[in-house]
This record gives sequence, C-alpha cells and structure tokens, in this order.
Amino acid sequence: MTLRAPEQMTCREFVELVTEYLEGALSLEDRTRFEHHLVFCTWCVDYLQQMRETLRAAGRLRESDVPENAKEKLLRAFRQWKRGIP
Amino acid sequence: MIAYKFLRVGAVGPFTGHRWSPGTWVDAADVHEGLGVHACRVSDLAFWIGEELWRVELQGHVWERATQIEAARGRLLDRVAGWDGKARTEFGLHCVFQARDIAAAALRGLGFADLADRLALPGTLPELAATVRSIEPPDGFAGEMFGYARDAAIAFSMTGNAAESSFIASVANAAARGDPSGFGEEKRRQSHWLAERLAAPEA
Repeated sequence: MTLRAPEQMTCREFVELVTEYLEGALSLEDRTRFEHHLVFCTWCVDYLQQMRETLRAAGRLRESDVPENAKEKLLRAFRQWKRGIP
Repeated sequence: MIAYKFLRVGAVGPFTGHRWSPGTWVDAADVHEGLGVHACRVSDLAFWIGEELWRVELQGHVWERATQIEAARGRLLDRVAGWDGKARTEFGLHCVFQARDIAAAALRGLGFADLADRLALPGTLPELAATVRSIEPPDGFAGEMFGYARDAAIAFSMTGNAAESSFIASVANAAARGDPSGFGEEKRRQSHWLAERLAAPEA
C-alpha cells in the first residue's frame, strides 16, 4: 500500500528503525515518519511498547545477576546453535 | 499562538508519555528544532489522530514544518469537547466512505461501471462490508483500487480504528491520482472536514 505513498513508513522499516528511535538517533524527518506510522498502526504501537519494556528490564540486569547454572545452560545452547546442533 | 494537540487518555503525550497538566507551561528541554513542544495547525489534524484533542498556546520561536509546528514552550488551554468516541467513529466512517468514493470513481474511469455502481450503493458500514465481501476483485489496477474500498470497510468494521481508515483513504487518493502528493492532499481535506465538524478555527 505504501508503494503509492513512498514517504510513508512500512511496518518493516519501522521495526528496522525502532532502536534508533528509542535512542533518539533518528533524523527529524525519519522521526516524523516513524510517528506518523505510530498514529494508525496498532501492531507497531505494541511492538514499540514491548521493546521499551525489554530495554527497561534488560537495562537493570548485570552479568552477576545471572545464576551460574543458567549461564552454563545459555552458553551451551549458544555453542550448539552456532554449530547447527538443534 | 493558538494551535491543537492530540493526546492519549489522561492528557498523556502519545510519543513521549509526558503527562500534561492543563494551564501549566512546559518548556522544551533544548531549544533546537525537533526537541520542542509539538502541535498541529488545522490542516495537520488528520496526520495525528488521537484520543483527546486539546487547544494549546505556544510561545517563543515557532518552527513550521510539513505536518506539524513546534515551539520553545507551550501549555494546554482546554479540551476540544466535540472530539470524543462518537466523533472519532464519525471521522473513521467518513474516511471509509471517502475511500469507497475514490475507488468507485477510479473504477468508473477504468471502464468498470457496474462494479462502481455496486460499490456506490451501500449507505451503511455493514452494507458496504457485505458488498465488498461479495465482489470478486478485478485484476490489475482496478483490483488495487477496489482493494482500498474493501480494506477500509473491513478493517474499520473489525477495529474501529479511525486513523487507519484515514490512512487507507489517503493512500487510495495517491493511487487514484497516480501521484504520491495525493496522500497529503487527502489528509488535508480530512483535516478541514474535522475542523468543520469540531468548529475548530484555524490556529
């Protein structure tokens, strides 16, 4: 639909720019386009809220907050994932 | 300078989350374009639809941009009483039927007079939604234009999201005009419809 109004942001572009928006790093023009999209797209409003909540929660975590056994499990999972083991 | 501002329920800024207190001046954290107090001229209203509409007073330097204005400081004056749930629904329906009218006119011009007549007949949202569901879309550009009427009617039936029907009607106008500027043209037409409906004078 936005092919007909190319200055309007798509949901895909919104998702790509959400971190920069939250960091206040978007240009004035892109921030206006981003906020125009937020006016009507309830999906992206929810997505932005989830990102804010995630950053708020993750921002309070320190490495020492993760229990040793959970850290081991996570590292094992990442190593397996990198080797392509399900 | 007097202007308008859409807010969430409870006079909360939709993007900043700032809770406004009517009558209290709010100064921009930094007097640079982009960081000020944002507001709408009458012609900007349809770009920023929200739950509450307030009249605001702006002071200091005012930056004028394509779809909003921005000032160094501002305060809420009073709420536009006519902008409530009923008015939002009326505006949403107006945009649904505008999308339908744009689609019907385009279809007539493309030689699909029968389809245009069928689309033009319904006078209520349930009738329009039933009609668009019963029609097999044509191919190509005619199908695209029919799609705007279908999407506007079905989406508004399901969600009642007036800002979404405003968006669909504006894209439909850009498509019908074959020019992206049709988007802003339709938004401004909607803004003036709103201003008339709300008896909101030009800022």
